[in-house]
Amino acid sequence: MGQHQIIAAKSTLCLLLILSVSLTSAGRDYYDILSVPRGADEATIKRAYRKLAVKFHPDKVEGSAEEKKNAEIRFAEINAAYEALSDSEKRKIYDRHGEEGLKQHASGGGRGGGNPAGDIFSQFFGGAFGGGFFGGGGGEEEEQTPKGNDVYVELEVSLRDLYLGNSFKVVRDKSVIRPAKGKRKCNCKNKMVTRQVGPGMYQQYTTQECEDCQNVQLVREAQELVVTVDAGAADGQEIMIFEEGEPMVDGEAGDLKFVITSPPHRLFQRTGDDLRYNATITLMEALIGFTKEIEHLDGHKVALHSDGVTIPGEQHVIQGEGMPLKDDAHQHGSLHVTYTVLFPKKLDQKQKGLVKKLFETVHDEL
Amino acid sequence: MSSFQQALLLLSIALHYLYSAEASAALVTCGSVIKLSHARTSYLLHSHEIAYGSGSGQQSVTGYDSSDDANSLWIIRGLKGHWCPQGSSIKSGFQLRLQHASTRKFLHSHHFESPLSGQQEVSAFGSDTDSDDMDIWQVDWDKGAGEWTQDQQVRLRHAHTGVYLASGPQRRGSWSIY
Repeated sequence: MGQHQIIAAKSTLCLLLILSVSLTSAGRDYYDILSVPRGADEATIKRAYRKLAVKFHPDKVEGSAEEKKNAEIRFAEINAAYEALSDSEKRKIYDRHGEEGLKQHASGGGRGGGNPAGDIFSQFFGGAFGGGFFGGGGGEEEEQTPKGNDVYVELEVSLRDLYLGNSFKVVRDKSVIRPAKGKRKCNCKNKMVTRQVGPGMYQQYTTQECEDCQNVQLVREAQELVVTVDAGAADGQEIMIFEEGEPMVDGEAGDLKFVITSPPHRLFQRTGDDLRYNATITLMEALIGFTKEIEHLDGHKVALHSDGVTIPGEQHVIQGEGMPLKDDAHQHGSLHVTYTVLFPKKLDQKQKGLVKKLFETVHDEL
Repeated sequence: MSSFQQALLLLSIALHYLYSAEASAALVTCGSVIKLSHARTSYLLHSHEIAYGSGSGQQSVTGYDSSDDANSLWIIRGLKGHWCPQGSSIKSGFQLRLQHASTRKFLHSHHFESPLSGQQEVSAFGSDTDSDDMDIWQVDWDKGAGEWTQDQQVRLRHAHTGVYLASGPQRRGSWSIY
């Protein structure tokens, strides 16, 4: 599919002057850079380039660091100018549409394969020269290798597995690109073609130029992967397996990304590197003290102790019993234990009497 | 807490693919991320962020013939409020939800007419936190293993309306309910 544009190109001086005025506002003036008149022929341009290139070549320039730097910039500009003006096609585009026009032309040519939907849009915008108008930016300037879709998979990991670390076997059945019989079109580039349709009348349009490649097909292949979750890994953390996602013909496959999802634990709650635990003690233990043991995520015992009174909701912090730190599994955060006091449901008359007697000697401030 | 390693399944369930059979095919379980292929047309159940122009106006669900698109991936989930641990095997008659991996919406059906086929419309609806009873499907099969296994032919029945998810040779690009 090509875009056709009939341009009546006049070579009168006043029209060229108008063009040159609009060009300076749209980018660098290549003719000025090479110090040649607009209508200069190829030989003149070549001579000018050689003279200037020698003058500003980085190896030839003497002087201060700043002078060298300026020369370097100048040299780059001279090269860019010559590259554009020495090629008859590029020169025509530059004359009409300026530097912007050349950028559009370059980006249109650099887009190969890629996803089908994207191609339609890039063809549309890359090839739209209607009325010599280029909307906004010139698109990407560097060629990027097209990449297949990434595949995200949630990996349910228990809190215990995050505490100790663990490995998971995963069956990955994916489509891979394998050779097939015959040939196919590949590395297609948009090419701008200009041809003369009459005296002073030119037609400009884009066509696709493709190469011939080995034909390919998508074939399913299954393999077992092992995903390792490190101790201390965080909820929402991604573990990437390079290029195990969806394939891309003439490009690289997307990645497979496992996202750690940790369901809530019955006893422990995690906050960053710390753990929270709720322990229940009897009213008696709360008043006279206690020694208890709780079981941690990996089964090791943690001692809880109090010599005196423990009020409901009181929090004890036990260092080193939290989650392992992501960067250093030998270090741990803290365990925060909150105490819930279990009150007896009922006391009979005798017990009430005893309690009353006891508390006559206990003096509390309100 | 179980201490054995879970086998998480990522696969394409398709009968027409030439696939070198392994000694034991993998199980399809809760938490598996799968592609569903229509047995007769080989088109994949697919969705993307494009809404139906008519019908319900919800996100469309279509049949897609290329097997290299992540928008054909669906996650098997238990019912809302019923945590189905990853790796739990599935028997015929199991009720589940299918969550579209990239847009997080659930495979959904309702009493709307499909703009594509004229039958009951299938759409993608909701989010991680928003799901209703019309997202519930029942998977069943007559022949095959007791537990849902890769490459097994299955049917998906919409729990609420009682009809089956289907596509057809004359409607390759669409899924609807018959």
